[in-house]
Amino acid sequence: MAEDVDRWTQQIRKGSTRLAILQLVSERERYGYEIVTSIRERTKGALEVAEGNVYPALHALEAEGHITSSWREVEPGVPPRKYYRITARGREHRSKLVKEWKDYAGAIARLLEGE
Amino acid sequence: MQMTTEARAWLDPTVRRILARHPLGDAERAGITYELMSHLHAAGEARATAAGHSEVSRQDLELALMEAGGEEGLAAAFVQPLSKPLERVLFWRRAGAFAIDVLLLGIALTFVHGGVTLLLAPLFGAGTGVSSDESLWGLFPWGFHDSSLPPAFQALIAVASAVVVMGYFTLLEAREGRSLGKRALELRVMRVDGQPLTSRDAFLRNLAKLQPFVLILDTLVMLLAFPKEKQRVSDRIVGTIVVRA
Repeated sequence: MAEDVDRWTQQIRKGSTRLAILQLVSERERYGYEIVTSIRERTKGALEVAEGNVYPALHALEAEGHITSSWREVEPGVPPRKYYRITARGREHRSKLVKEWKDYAGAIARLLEGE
Repeated sequence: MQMTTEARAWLDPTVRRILARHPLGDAERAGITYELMSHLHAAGEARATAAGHSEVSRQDLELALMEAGGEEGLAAAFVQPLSKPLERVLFWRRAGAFAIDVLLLGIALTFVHGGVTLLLAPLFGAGTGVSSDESLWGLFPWGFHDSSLPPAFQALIAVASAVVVMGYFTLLEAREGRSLGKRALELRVMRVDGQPLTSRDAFLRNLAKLQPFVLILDTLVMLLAFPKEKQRVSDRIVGTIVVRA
């Protein structure tokens, strides 16, 4: 039973990682590790995402043209950082996802109110 | 935040080693190498800051790597979305790559033959009129058999040529995963499990290239019997494939 819940939670997380990333990079440009930790902090650990999910999602979003990236020197002697920022297309995509999310969450909430 | 000397010495080779097992284009490899190094540094920096250190130590980086799923987990996260499904290559591109290799080896062998002749011809009494009309060309073209030379000397040149040819393919395919011809045509050899070739693999899969009829037969069997697997008989025995990469 607990396994079922785990699997279900995992699927919700997977779906929400893209939205979380789009939200974070729409506020300001951020680098990969910052996105990993920000998701953790902003959701107070509720959305615990692994590097193994964030980077593939970032690369996919970039390939789809929703975000772009640029390398930036931080300080000499240290690896440069790859900053991601949202594109116009990404903003539009984000708005749609937010609307879908709210509609869906609202619908489920109304459904559960019937209990 | 700066890294300790030890941390710096660890980071670059570790990341390259992690990615070495994965087939990637050169541009993609460079991008992922930097992003992975950048990630480990940033994660290590967070650890160092939390511990009140002023430099990122090697241990910080190693812990960051473990936290991110270890070598395999991290490589999978970075590489998978970028690596296209491996496309095995059947004939034309490989034939083209081989033609380039033959051309380059032909040029190199001209010099090798010249050198061997210059150094050792007097020992064999070459040029003294003792010669053979038998041409061994069909048997071993890499030797460019000059029928004005005594057969024993032709054989010596043939052996030297074989060493050069096998050395070229074995060294490059085991170290770089591809000969210069394959590099030019964006091909790469790997084991069927995706691992790089060992020297033994590279040597064995290239042996057939010493003898044209053997190579033609090897390739014909591939075209007729293994068009799906896209492996020469040599490839099937050794367990290697040629892919676009």
